[in-house]
Amino acid sequence: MGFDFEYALSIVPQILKALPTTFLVTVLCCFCAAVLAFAMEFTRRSGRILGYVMRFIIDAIRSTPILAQLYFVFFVLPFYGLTLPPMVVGVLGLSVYYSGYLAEVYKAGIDAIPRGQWDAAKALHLSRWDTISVIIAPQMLRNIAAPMGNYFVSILKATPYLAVIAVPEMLGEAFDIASDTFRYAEPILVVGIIFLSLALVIAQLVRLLEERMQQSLKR
Amino acid sequence: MCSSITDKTEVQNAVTISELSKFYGEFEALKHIDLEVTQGERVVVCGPSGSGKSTLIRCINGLETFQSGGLEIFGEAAGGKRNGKTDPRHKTGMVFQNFNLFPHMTVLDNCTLSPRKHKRGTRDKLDALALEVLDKVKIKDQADKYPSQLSGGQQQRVAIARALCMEPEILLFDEPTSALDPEMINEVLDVMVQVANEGNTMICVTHEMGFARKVADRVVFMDAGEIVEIAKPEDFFSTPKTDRAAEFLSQVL
Amino acid sequence: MSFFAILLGIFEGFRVTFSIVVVGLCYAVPFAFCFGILQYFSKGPLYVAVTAIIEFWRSSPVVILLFVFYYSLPAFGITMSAFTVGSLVLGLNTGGYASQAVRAALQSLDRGQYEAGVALGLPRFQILWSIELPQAVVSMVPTFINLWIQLIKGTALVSLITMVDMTARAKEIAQIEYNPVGIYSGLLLAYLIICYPVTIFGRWVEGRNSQEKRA
Repeated sequence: MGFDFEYALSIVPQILKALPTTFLVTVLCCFCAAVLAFAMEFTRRSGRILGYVMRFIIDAIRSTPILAQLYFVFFVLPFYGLTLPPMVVGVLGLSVYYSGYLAEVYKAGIDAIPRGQWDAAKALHLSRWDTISVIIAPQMLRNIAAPMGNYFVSILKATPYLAVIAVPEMLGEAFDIASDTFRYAEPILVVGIIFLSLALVIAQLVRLLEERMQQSLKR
Repeated sequence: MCSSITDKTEVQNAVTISELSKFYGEFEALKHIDLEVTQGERVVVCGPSGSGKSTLIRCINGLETFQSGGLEIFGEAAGGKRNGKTDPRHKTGMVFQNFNLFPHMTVLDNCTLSPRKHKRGTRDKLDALALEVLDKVKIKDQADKYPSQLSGGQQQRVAIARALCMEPEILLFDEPTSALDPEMINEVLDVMVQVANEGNTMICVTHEMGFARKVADRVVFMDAGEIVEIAKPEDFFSTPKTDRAAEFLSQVL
Repeated sequence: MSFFAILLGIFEGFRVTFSIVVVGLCYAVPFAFCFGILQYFSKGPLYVAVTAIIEFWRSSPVVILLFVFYYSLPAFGITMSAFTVGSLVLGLNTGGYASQAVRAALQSLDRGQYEAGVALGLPRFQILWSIELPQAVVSMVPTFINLWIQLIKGTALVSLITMVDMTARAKEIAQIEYNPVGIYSGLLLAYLIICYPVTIFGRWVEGRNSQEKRA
């Protein structure tokens, strides 16, 4: 069975129909992971015991495969009577996984802030929350724009994992088509090409955005 | 121990430090420090590097903790348990060696941040107040710039304005001119003299002996974590009582 | 089935997981050095070609690469076993990332090192081999360890192309026994047992490196 180019072209629109889902999942995950990582990183920096617990949680998240984590959330939650739509499970799973990585990114971004900034905040008698939200977080975000952008691209590239828990994103759509026609080669390759071009274009956009930001910072 | 005992009934103690000791692990950075600073007094703390002078003023406003001894600010114990009251250290303002301005905020926002967060008034009122203070340190025209656009001397004057905007009752300076290029030192010292002449309580860690001579009520000389000598500036500079002070003076003067 | 029995059952897939990692590394490390160094040296069309190959392996989502190689390539007459596809794709994907670490490490070296080599009359290859690479390798190590963990975790994907690794074993057990909590926490634990020590080792190396830089 050779490769049927005409057939491949004919299914492109059908697969692209799932593109909005892919984007939606990506945006939601980026947002949730960024917020979750923030909470995790500042918990890691707080009290002693809680800090050690959070340190282990972050390392544990980074030490297990995303696929195993997704299975865990997908199969274990219903066991406790909590049946969520696949989409929610998917966003939850991806967000938790990438929050472990973003917490590390935040850590590097915070470590790069001079000690004197914390001193000054304390000398101005700012509360811990004010210190974090007004002094530390803005400077941290400035330090980590590049790696954070890269992880957002990674999240986009991780959305096909959600096909295994029946989220109707592009790879899932491709498998649906394949199971109807028993032709796997074409749908899969089409998804592959779409994803590669998407990843390259968005990575380029992120790089451009970064350069813009760096320039505007050089006041 | 110090000469102000006679008029103690009239003037309140701003800072009272008694038997204060601080350790970094085994190393004793401060050894049984006793020091009283009365309201309105200007004290210069000097000594060789590593003598503990920066650590001492960082203890006063809570940037460093200490292991034993007491610290009172206007009669209220600082540190230890809070008992729900605001820490009396909120009455202190601090100027750092490296300015430590917030690079992502304008000069004006740097100055209004603390009063704003402590709800000292409306934004307009606080802005007006900050501009007044910036005018006093002669940098009002730079209010909308970011710290990185200013010279070191200008940045340090902003840092002084930022501390003044908190309307502190005690001003702490931690080697405010040590990180500056020589040609910028005087503009900062002039502002400090001006602030001193307004009757603020000041504790300055500095090597600027000219400044000490001009404004200090007392000079505190520290070495190896101890207060070695406390004297009026004219006595300290002309006839230091200890060899260590004499040796130090011969190096800086 | 006790939790311990489940864990043992999952570890029956360890041989496959382990073999994929080992063979994958045999693809990843040579690819990383060859292409990282080539990208560092090349200019013009060669640079574009090298970069394109690296970007292909690095920028495509690894799940999709796996499926494309397994399901689509046979249509072009290229048929590979699931094991070959798994180790090749996971290995070269990791190698793509690692090549960037190699290039960045070489680029961040002090140019004086190269100039000193030239001044000693060494040929270019000799400078690379005995002056630049030994220094660059030190700063690559933390990234390499992180990528190694990525590779181990990535092997879970071969369960999707019919290989019976640890993840596939968990799914098999799930078919004979309804105990999702035990089975899937066992699966997470199995990977944690393998990867957590590497994570800690990576942190230790990173800490040591940054300490040396400060000293």
